Amino acid sequence: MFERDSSITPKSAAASTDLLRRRVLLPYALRLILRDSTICIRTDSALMSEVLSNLNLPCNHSSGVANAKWEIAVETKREAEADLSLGSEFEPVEIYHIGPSCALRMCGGSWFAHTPPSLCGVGFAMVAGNKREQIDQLTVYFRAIMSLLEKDGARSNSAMTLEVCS
Amino acid sequence: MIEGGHNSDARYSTTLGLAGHVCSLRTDSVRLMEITGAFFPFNQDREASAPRAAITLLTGCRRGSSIGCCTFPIFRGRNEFVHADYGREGSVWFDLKAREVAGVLSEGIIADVEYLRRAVLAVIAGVLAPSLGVIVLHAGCVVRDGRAILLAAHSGEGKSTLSLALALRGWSLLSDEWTFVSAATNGLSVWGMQTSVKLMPDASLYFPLLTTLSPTISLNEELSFEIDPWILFGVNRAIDATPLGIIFLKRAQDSGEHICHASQFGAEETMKTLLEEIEEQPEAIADQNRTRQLLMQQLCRLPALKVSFSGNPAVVAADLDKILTEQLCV
Repeated sequence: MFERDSSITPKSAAASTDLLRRRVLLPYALRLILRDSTICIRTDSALMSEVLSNLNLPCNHSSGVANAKWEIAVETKREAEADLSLGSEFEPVEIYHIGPSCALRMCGGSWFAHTPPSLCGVGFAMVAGNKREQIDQLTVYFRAIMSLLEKDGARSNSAMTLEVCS
Repeated sequence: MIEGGHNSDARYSTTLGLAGHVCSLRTDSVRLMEITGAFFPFNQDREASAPRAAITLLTGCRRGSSIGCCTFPIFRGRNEFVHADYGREGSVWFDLKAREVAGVLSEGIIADVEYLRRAVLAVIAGVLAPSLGVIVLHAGCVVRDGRAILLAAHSGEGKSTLSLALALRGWSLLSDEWTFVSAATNGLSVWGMQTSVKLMPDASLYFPLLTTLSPTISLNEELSFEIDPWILFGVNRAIDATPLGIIFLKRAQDSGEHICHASQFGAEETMKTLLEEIEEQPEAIADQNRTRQLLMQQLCRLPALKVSFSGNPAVVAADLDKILTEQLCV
């Protein structure tokens, strides 16, 4: 069960980086809560709200952005900047199991990895194309993460809530 | 979704050496094991300890090509996690705190040995090394009688050209661009990697052998020669050595005249200049960062010279040779 929060909080300016040097600004923060653990999604675009709609996440209200055990950075590119050689066709997500860790990757550079039963994980999503294509790519990405977590039993029976702080 | 590689497929294993530190490799490919083992040579007489890092490389990337590659990886990092993406050809990801590396690579990458070394294995070395307490220095390095001189400079100043010019004068070439510095029993050790040397197209004016080749577009989209100097020029290769001193190179304005002028460089200036080119590391590997700080302090106590130069690299190298012999006693 998921809930979405649309409370307003100050934008958090932070980041993923390219090889730990150039900081990519991701001013929007969204938070998922799973029991005492939080998953923080940082992004440069407000279109995540449509992604959440695609994932059927109802609204809820809360406030604040706490320290997250999992962080996912989502970067969007305008259509003009996109590598159109990859095309707009959608390719399946690849899943890898290496040691105790699980990872998923998508052709455009999006990736997520975690080590069950720990709740620590990290992901980088990079999507391109027009707005609709980006939303579709992100929906597939997050749906794949949720499926991976369900499969690995990292999700308990407790409710998972999502707080959107912008 | 499609299922890719599984750890259980990694049935081949070997031991690697990275700047004097032992690492384990597991893979599902004999070819990958052999190429990686040669790139990270392990000296069992010297490096007898339990592995400090674990590398797993699988060949399960199903969408890749079966021919050569030219993709420059896209990097993303957050705290101790780093991801290098090679598009359809695969990914490598790092947990610097756990010192674990995992990757899935296409047949195309594995078939292209030069690309594998330059864009994958060199990246693994460069990203993983700081988590082992090793400094990755943006400097060339030449060696004589087991004693090394580091040649530090910003990109484009001529490190590679002068490193090669000194190698042609009898020095052994340890590296032309990236040198690894680690702790040794009695001080410091420097280490190189077996990667090609990159020279700008105008280098063919000074190295006639290059005129038999054509420059190509490199991974960072520059037109350049990428050569194996040990094969093309027959220079000697050094794998590791004890550092004796540092030269900071600065190209003087080209006036058509030959210039090679050396001046002393203090410890404080050395530290400030070296730090400009060192990658900042995450707080998650704080212990290894402290180790690297101590190594930096030792490194900055080595004799250092600033050398301004211009003109024919062979002539500059002859002057440098004389300076190193007279002032640094190499």
